[in-house]
Amino acid sequence: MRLYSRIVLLLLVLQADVTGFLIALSFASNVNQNTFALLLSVDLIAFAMMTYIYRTAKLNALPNRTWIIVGSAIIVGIFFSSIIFT
Amino acid sequence: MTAQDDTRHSGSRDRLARLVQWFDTRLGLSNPVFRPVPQYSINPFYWLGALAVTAFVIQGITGIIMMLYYVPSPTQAYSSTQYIFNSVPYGRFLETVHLYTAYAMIMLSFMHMMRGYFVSVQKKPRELMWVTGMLMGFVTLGFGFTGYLLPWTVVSKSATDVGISIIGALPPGLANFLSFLIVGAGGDSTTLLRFYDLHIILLPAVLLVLLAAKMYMLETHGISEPVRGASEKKRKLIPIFPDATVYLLELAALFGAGMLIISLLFPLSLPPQFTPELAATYTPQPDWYFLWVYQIIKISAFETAGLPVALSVVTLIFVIFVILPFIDRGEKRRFADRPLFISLGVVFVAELIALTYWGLVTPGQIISNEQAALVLGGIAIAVVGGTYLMHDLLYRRVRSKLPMGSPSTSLRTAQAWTCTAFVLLVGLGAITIGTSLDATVRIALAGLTLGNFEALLVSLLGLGGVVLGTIFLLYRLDLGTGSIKRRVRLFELGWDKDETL
Repeated sequence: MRLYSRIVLLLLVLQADVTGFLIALSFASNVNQNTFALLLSVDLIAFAMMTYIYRTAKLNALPNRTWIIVGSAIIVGIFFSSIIFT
Repeated sequence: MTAQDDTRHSGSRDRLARLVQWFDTRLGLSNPVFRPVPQYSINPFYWLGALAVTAFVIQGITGIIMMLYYVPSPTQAYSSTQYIFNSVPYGRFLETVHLYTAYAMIMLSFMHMMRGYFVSVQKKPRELMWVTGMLMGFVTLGFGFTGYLLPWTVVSKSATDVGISIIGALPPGLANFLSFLIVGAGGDSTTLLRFYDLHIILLPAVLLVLLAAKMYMLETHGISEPVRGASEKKRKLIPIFPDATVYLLELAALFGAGMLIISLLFPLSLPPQFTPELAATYTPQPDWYFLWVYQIIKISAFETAGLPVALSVVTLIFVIFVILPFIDRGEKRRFADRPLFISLGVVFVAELIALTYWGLVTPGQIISNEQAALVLGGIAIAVVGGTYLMHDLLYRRVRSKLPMGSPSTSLRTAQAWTCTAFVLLVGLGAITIGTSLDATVRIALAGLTLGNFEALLVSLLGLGGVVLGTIFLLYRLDLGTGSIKRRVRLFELGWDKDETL
């Protein structure tokens, strides 16, 4: 379970960074809407992963590793695709 | 850690606990109005309606922002939409998300309805919940119809004009009422203003009232049990807050992320502005969720004088769905015990998909009666045959070969997989049969062309694949129940002897 607590912490840091970046983008004059959409989706996926870990922890069960890997892979994939789309 | 650190941590925990308690006392979070939900409802299929409401909320937020810039007049509707698109910060993003969540809302409402139909949620005592849900579905379609006109593009205006003209073919009382409601005194300005008012005031208000009524009934009757029943563990109640709320937030976050990614992959582009000259060169076609109706009224039997008949058919389908709880009144809910309704439901979904696709690829083209009968009839026959085969396979053949008693988990898993595979095969079979019949009719009518021949060949190959897939599935099922008569080694690739049920 400790590993998952660390994942939650990582996700929180990621969300904070992404949110900070989104706010910074909003202040920029030339806002790229694709970047905004991509980073917002990263935020949402990270949030979904956190709630999933919270739910399973509350049931005293371990989160399914596959979902965590899939979620992480999607986040990484979105970051890479942001290079293509922006 | 020193004693001083401990005291500091405990102090901050106390402060946090006091803060949480302050909010809890005022908001009553630990004693929510909504009743707890059973554990088995922690499943996405139980939350399709809630996701449709989530889509509605997203539309509300994006719609209110767009409302600040949009001008509902024929001379400025297009330019204000263009302004949102090009000059408002995140404007294109707002427009795209608004449209795609609208599509998602329609799709989720439909899935919610069909899931309810297949698992018989409409039965006693939830009949009025079903009727309310159906009314909410109509309001959702109303959102689509009224919102489509607002950008005032050649695509949206032409299609809406066709829609309005069709209303005239409805029974006089209904036609007058609908005309008064959406067209008013007539003229472009009035129509656009009416559509705008309906879209942003009347329909949201009606939807919220219906939602409140449905939620009240849901609280009264609770969530319906799974068709197969549920174990004690699965029946255990969990509080709506935070457990079920967190689950909904998780689904909503994934839904939102999905919408954003789809918006990014398929960005909107604004079609040209409506002008009568441009409209004269354009073949009107409705948005995808009305394509099935469009395709029905294009069948030559329903042309001109037959239009009221076509509309009666469509109205009858809607009426049947509304009064379904008073038609399907039996107490049995399992698929195997309702073969007629299950078959009809699968035929309905297959025909709807086929008509939608057909409408999309044949804009403005009149469909001959023979073609319609062949394609729609072929699909119905294939689907009914496939459903009965599945019923026979899953519930008679397999059961007869297994010891009596409640089915094991492995059998249930096997049934779920087999069922899914068969649904896919039946769907694919219906499409390939429909396409091959369509290609045959085209060849008979227009002669052999390369395009027609290719369509026929591809559909026949697809059909062959479906037949082979069915044989393979049947073989593996017999292998699983240990009743195989003639061995085919090729079909046993990757088979583990321990998999026998």
